Amino acid sequence: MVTRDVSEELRELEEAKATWRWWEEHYEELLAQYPEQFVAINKDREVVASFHCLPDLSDAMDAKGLAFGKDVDAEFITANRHWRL
Amino acid sequence: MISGYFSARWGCPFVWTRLAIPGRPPQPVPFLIDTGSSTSIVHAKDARVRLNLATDAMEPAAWTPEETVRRRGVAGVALSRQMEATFEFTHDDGSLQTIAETIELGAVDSQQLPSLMGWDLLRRFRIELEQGTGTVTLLPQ
Repeated sequence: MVTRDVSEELRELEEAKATWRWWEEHYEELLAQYPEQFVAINKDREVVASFHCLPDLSDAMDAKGLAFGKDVDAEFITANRHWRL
Repeated sequence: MISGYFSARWGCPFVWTRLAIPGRPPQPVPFLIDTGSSTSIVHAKDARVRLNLATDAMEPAAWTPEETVRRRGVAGVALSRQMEATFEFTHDDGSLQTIAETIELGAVDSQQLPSLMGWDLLRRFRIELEQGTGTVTLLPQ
């Protein structure tokens, strides 16, 4: 275990967690609009695209010059909450 | 102590780590805690969205035989790509714990699945899970 200045890393991590919480809080309304789709949101948390498969979403973001992580985040929105992995 | 949470939408325990793979800087990735998985795997959506890997890199045809592994699960056999990885955990007191391991990259058909933290990492921790209180903690042994 090491200790060092991790302020920037912590900021990135907290930002990612905050965005994840937003997905959690808005999941039901997203599910009503975009069932079984990959949904991309920008930094203002506006939906910018939705596709039924990840490669199509990826191509669309590339075409718009939007980078995952930097400009947009994405999640798969599904009514199926159960897995047997 | 590393704190995670129960996902409201999935009802499953998750923990965040910063994951670095060759050629990519560490990025935050949420992992479902899966004590039934012997290895950890980052599935296609997280690989694309969080690690910024091209979807072409998730096609098994692009992988060498040496890095391609076959894993059997309840749904059948799945191919994945094994690579070196560094997991950086942030403890609640701000300290870091770095673990060098391998990780598997799921093929593009894993795109709907969450990434999994398996026993290769979890064996290093005492795990406390209690959904009623929302407790998800990993304690170093």
